[in-house]
Amino acid sequence: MSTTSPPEESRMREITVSRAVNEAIAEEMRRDETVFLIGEDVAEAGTPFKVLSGLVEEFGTDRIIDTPISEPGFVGMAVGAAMTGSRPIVDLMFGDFLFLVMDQLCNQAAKTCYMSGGKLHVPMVLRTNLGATRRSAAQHSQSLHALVAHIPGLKVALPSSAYEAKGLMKTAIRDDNPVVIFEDKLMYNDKAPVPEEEYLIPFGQAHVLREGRHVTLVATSSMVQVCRKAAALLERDGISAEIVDPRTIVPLDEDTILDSVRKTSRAIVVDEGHQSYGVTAEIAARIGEKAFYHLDAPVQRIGAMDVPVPFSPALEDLTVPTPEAVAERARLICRGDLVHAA
Amino acid sequence: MPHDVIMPALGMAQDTGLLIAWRKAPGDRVKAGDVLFEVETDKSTMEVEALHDGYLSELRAEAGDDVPVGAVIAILSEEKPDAPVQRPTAGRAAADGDARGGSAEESTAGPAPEPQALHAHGSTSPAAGDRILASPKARRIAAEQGLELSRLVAEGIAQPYHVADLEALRTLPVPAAGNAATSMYLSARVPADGFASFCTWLAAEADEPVPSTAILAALLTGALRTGPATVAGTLTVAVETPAAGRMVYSDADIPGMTKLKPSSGGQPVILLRDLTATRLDRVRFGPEATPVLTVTRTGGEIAVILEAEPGVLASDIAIGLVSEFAARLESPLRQLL
Repeated sequence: MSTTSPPEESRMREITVSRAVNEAIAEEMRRDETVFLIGEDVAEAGTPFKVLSGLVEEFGTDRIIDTPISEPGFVGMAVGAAMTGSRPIVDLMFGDFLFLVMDQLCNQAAKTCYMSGGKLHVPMVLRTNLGATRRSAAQHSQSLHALVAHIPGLKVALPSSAYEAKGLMKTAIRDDNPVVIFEDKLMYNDKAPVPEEEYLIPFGQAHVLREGRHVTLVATSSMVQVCRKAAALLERDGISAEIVDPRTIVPLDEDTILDSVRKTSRAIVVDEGHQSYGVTAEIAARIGEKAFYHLDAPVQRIGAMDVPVPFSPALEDLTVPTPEAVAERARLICRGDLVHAA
Repeated sequence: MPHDVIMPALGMAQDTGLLIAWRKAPGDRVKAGDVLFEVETDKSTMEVEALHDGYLSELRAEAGDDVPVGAVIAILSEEKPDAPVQRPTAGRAAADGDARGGSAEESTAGPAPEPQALHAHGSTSPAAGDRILASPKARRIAAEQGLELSRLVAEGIAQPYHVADLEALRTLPVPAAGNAATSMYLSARVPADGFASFCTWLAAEADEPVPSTAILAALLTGALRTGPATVAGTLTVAVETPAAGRMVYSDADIPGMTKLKPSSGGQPVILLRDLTATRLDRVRFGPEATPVLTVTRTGGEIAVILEAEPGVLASDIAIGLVSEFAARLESPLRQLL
């Protein structure tokens, strides 16, 4: 049932990320009646991104629940519901609102199983988003997955395409522990082949979507697409890039990443969180620790600029990783040019 | 009897103490009440006195170590030790690799964590004590393949070095054991049929087979003796083949070849390396302690190569020797004249 990439013999159809998420939630809600969904504008509106359209018609307002603007409140409700036998999917309209729910998520949901000695579980999915360049300005464009990845007790999934979005969502709903899933808000209309048959993607299993010899690009979420374009640019220069999508940063599939770096001797980690104190730092550190003697160049990190996301479109676009930036960094380290220490 | 010196508990909630400094050196005579070391706790730096008389003979912690309370950090022995030991505890060595910069230069480093073993190889030996900057992979491959990164420095190639630079290192000329520019190297080439037909004739004439090593030894000794500087006294040569090893012959030109036997002793003045039975056609070994004549055979020709350290053979003697020996190989009957 679980697959790294779709098996060839399954019937595939191209669907959007939005459709993939919708299918995953609908399938799980049909399969398990304790699953319900709660959030702002999730029912009739189907969320502002229209991902959940049609669900309230099938499952009713008892299972697709609209709430007032009250993030700490409804996340707290979901934690309580999860502890008492339900499997809530909490919809947080923008990832930026995480700051409102950190206590419920990080102090309650994340720690309840541990602090109760395993007597209580919180099988909750927090579904939210990340990603800039939507012109939504500083408070609606953040990519905050590093914050929750840092908290023991939370799992963090980052789908990079429709295939991942469906498979990871189903695994998240079936997981008995709190999972935070971040979808890139600009990817909802991107299509990818998705099997008609049911499938799940296990956590902690990275995907090598492009093989290469000269440099490993570790990329999360929409940065996978950025790196695909970068790899095409690099191919023209005779540089062959390997792309590894961790798919979940907690748990993180180190082995696949390290195997790739041992093969290529060079690594660039690309993530849309801010450059400093983020996901790239953690992955780069692990590569440095565990593949040190295989490195022919310092491990590189490319994240978003350490600034609040600008409202001006021209400025906003400068702050995020681009295919050109990734390709240029790869060229530098393949030439042996990037030298920081002397 | 020897006494353990332990890290004391200096506070209620304290479970480690930071050793600031030793106030006595290994081997020092210590009296009870002398200040032995200083420890920093949460609150302040405290001096710790020795509880017994003795000689400080074994230091197990260094200044800067955070030592668990109760751990033994030194020994006070009754008698002055010959070689007071200074070694860190195993737990500390593992945790503290970064404090020492992971370098192999510090002689008091304790049980080295496994990665340090690679750095102990010669490839990191820099010129004039300067560190060479190279990527971890380049260093590892250089160490595995016995390549010296310092040669890249000498060639003026800019640091830091990457794996691609090792290619340049491999194409640098291999440093010769001797000075390749001035060591002696002479070669000659003669048709092989003269020697071949002579060996056939000799085999028919003799009662027992005559090994080619004996024939070559005889020809060589003859060439030596009639060379430009006529050599008096016993002439000992060694002949070496891959199959039979080394055989030493003294005055091989005097008895008939059929009666020639290897001798047991004697220091050869020259070594003949007979590679005619092999497929080797061209060799260059570099000079060795004794002059070496290497003989190879290719198709219809025999090649003779003389190599010697500079100064061992005068050039006219070397020329005469090779010419004469080659001539004798071409027409061994010359030997009988």
